[in-house]
Amino acid sequence: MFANTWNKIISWFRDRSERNRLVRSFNESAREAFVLGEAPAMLEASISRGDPAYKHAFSRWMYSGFRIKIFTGRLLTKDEMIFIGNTILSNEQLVRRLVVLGWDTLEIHGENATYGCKWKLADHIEPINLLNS
Amino acid sequence: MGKVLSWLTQKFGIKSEHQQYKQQVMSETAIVDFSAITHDWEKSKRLYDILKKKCHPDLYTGEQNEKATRLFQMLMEKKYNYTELLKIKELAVKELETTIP
Repeated sequence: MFANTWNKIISWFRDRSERNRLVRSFNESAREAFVLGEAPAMLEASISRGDPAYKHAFSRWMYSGFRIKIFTGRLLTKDEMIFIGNTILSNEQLVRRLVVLGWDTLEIHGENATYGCKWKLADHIEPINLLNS
Repeated sequence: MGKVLSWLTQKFGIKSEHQQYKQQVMSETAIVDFSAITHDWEKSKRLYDILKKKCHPDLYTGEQNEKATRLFQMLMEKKYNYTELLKIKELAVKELETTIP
């Protein structure tokens, strides 16, 4: 019993570091693209509260949103936000990883984060039956 | 104490099949490649906007219409993948004899 709980504590810390690593490497890649001039806007990933309505079996109990802020220097159109969101969702491997690391909501926001778009991550991966807690 | 811990793990813990799935996903690759998102999202949007106009089946008749329909379907499926869009561009230039900047 104690070993089981201990394993869960260990895996909680491991997940936490894995989540931070994923966010960090996303931000490094985005910064590199912006500095090299390959992307006209800079993307910045962060962890947000998420939407409680999008919970699944792997969800963290709080801070389960994966938010991407886009710095363009102008107001983003809804189409652009949807395009970026769908680009992320089309990468199945990344979506699966986000889901098992406890994220349940993908949020795309403009610079001032007054409005944005959000998606339920569980709708975009294959074994749905596993996600029903 | 034991009962409390067992209730807590039942309530908030992850089931063994979930743990297996998690290990499977995490072992796919050590590092996720973000370049398709961070580097290419804008390029793929721009190229997709050009291709959807150039490959639209309504612009062609006969045999070329069939080719354009096939290319347009491919375009819809791969619209977020820049490498695939580049391949579609090459195909469009070759099969539809059109110029794409």
